Amino acid sequence: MGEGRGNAAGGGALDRAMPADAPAATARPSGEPERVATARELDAGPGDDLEAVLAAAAGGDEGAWRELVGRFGSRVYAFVVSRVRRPDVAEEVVQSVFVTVAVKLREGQYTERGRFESWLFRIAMNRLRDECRRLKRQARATDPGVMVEVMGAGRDGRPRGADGEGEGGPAGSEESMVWKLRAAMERLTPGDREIIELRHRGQVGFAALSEMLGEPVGTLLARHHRALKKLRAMLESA
Amino acid sequence: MAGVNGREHGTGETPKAGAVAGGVPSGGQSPEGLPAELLETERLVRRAAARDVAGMPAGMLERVAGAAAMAARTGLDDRGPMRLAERRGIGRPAAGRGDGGSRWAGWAVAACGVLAVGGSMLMLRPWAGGAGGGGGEVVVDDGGAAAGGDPGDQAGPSVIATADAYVEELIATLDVMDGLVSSSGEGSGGAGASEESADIWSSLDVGVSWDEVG
Repeated sequence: MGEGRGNAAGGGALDRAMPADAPAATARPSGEPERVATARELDAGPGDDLEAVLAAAAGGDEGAWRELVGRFGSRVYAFVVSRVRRPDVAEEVVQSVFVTVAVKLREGQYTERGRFESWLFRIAMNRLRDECRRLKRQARATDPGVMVEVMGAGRDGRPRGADGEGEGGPAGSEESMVWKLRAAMERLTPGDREIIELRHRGQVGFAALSEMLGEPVGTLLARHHRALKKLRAMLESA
Repeated sequence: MAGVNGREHGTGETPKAGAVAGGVPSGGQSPEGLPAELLETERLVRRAAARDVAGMPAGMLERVAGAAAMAARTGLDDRGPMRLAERRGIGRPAAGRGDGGSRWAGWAVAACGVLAVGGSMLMLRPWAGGAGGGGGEVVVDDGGAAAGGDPGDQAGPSVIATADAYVEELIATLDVMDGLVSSSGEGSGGAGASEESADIWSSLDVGVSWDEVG
């Protein structure tokens, strides 16, 4: 399936933006995270040994799993944590995703050779939906301690946003922008949010998205464009 | 066709060093042909993602890899223990912060896949890498019969094959462990609080002392 737009699909440099096995971001003095691709990401070319790694992983080889989780773990985490917010919960979900992958590999249920990325993220998407349903069922009044954990503390120690305090830092700061972004993402439709999160947090290429979601690449490009526009408008009006 | 790390085969793309920082090629249009104002939004989403990844729990990828490798070897997934632990009020397995008698069981469910409960010994193997990685099986000896045995040697044949059997064994294990922990020297696991078990326990970095557990 052709992307029709050159490197629109996998993102190349875009996909090298989030290191797989090292801290993905370090704060610049300005507060803007600087992302550095790992050598492995830059070196690993397309069509490399993924299928061989998968075969070894199916047999329980720990080295193969370190390799596999190193390549994809951060991306799955970034996708998951955007919804569940808490890193510990996100870790559980990520672990569950890879354990599911492991069991399916062992049982020979991975039959989509060359489509591991879309297969993995489909599992992640389903697992995340399960977790979100579970969290919704368990939803209850959030105590201030949890709010501080999630939102960070304001100058007075209360959760940011309490009585107008905090709001993620001074207006226009990176922290403030990220805060606004999160709020805007919450207001997107599930479909719009999903495509942005899969594309930019999961760094899933459009071809893989097309396989995952069963929609033509052109449709997805248009959906992505529209979703970003809506997000942009929400940020501007915030 | 999708390649690893989200790249597509045959795009012919060669990233420039400067294109990596910030996650989006600087200036101009994005590969998707997005206009500049949407590029900014895209960059913001990616920066937010990078911040989240930077806050990823330390050692997470190692733990996940360990759990997945174990699952691939045994065919056991880790959701049975999670559900069971929650149903029994042990709490979030990953937290392992139960109180009193639950604490040990909570930790065990969190960190271990229960591979075997056989004869006179209880055998656990670290599941999520929380207790010494791949080689640190925990043996709780309830009478000394298995003392000195090689956990690795004995775990293999006792691996539980089916999910149903696994859950049954898990329930039994938790019962035994609850009894063992709460009895403080009596009951089914009374002798489990042996010096050897204490030594094994203390060799594990679980953040809870044997005295607290027992």
